[in-house]
Amino acid sequence: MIAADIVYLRPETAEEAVAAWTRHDGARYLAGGTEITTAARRGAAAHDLRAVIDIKRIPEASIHEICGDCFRLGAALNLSDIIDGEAFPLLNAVLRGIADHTVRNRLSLGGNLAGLLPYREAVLPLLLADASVLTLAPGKGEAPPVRSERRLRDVFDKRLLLAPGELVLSFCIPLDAPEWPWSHRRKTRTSAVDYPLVTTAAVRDADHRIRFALAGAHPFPFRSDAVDAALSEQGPDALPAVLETLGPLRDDSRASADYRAHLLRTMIRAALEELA
Amino acid sequence: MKTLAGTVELILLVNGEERRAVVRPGDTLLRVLREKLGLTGAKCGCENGDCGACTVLLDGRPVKSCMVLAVECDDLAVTTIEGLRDHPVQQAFAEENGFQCGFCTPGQILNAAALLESHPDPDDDADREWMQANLCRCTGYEGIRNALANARRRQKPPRPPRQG
Repeated sequence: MIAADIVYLRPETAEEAVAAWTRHDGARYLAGGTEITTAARRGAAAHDLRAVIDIKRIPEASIHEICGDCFRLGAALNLSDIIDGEAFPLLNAVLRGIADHTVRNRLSLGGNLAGLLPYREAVLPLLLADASVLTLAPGKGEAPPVRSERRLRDVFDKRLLLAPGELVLSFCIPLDAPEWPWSHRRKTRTSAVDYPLVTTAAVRDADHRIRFALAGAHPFPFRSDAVDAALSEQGPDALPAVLETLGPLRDDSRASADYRAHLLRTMIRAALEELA
Repeated sequence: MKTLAGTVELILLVNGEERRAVVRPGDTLLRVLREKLGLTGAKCGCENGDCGACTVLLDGRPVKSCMVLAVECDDLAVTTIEGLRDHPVQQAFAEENGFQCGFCTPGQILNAAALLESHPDPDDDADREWMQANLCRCTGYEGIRNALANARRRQKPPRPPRQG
């Protein structure tokens, strides 16, 4: 329950949604709503929430189809619908690890990437596939809203770097990416339905190079060209250097940094064997 | 653009009936079902999307009603445990004692009913994956597993008569 008196808005187009955001102070976009409803109840976030803009009826935010040389996934699609679509095996594997299936029936792709939780595991396959992201941002002053399609890696640094009011509409994934050999591993503390201690995702791309990304070990998802190059060129021998590049790992009540480092060594080695 | 503010009269299709309730846009479906419509089958457990006690079906798909705003549901069919009448899964839970205190049972049954609808053929992976969404604080999982197996047996078509 959201205790504050809020306004609920349900636009039919992206332009209406962005216009609504500019008209309502304290407005947030809502697709699945799994984070907004629970965070607001706890008072953990959204204390300034005054309006929610439900983007599920915007057709281009619910798109799920091939467009030219990529396939496009709407940001408002729930994770279950993407899994059922079976378009991208690595993405499916990663999404199946997130929450449980009743939550995945609501949780949206855009919400997983743009949410407050640090894991944002859905971004891993998108970063590995070198996907792009289509957004619509409010224009300055009276100017019309600005639509832009950018490489996801250019706008994702620990989190999605969005301008105030910028609405994520969809992600575009190159058609060849789902064909690449892939590996996915996810370790939780006890039960399968839990936040990850470490999640790893890796592919061997069309040039036979390893691309590697992880979540859970830091307070943000991680991918770097240096790690990709080291793993591609040196294989498991690169592990000490890779761990060095990853920097300090999370150390909390769920797992020590040492244990996460152990998991990473094991999981990276297994991924490399799988992709050999 | 649909805009709702203050208190609004909402029409919901619940268990096949049109129901009206005065709600605030911030009210969750769980609270509206329980406090405005008197449907207390969906239980208020963690209200954090973890326990599954509040599970209902939206257009046949199980969701946690504590994480859904009621105003989002004005064109969706809501099914609560009150809407299942002598469903094979209910019969199986009763037969196998698939409950102890009963708090989680409505959510377990709705999730299992949707599971059998979605995966009519036996599928251990789907059974495990789907039923992970509901926690039983009494840890009565053995009975719940037996109930699901019982429901699957009930669902199987009868064997054809032997020839000759």
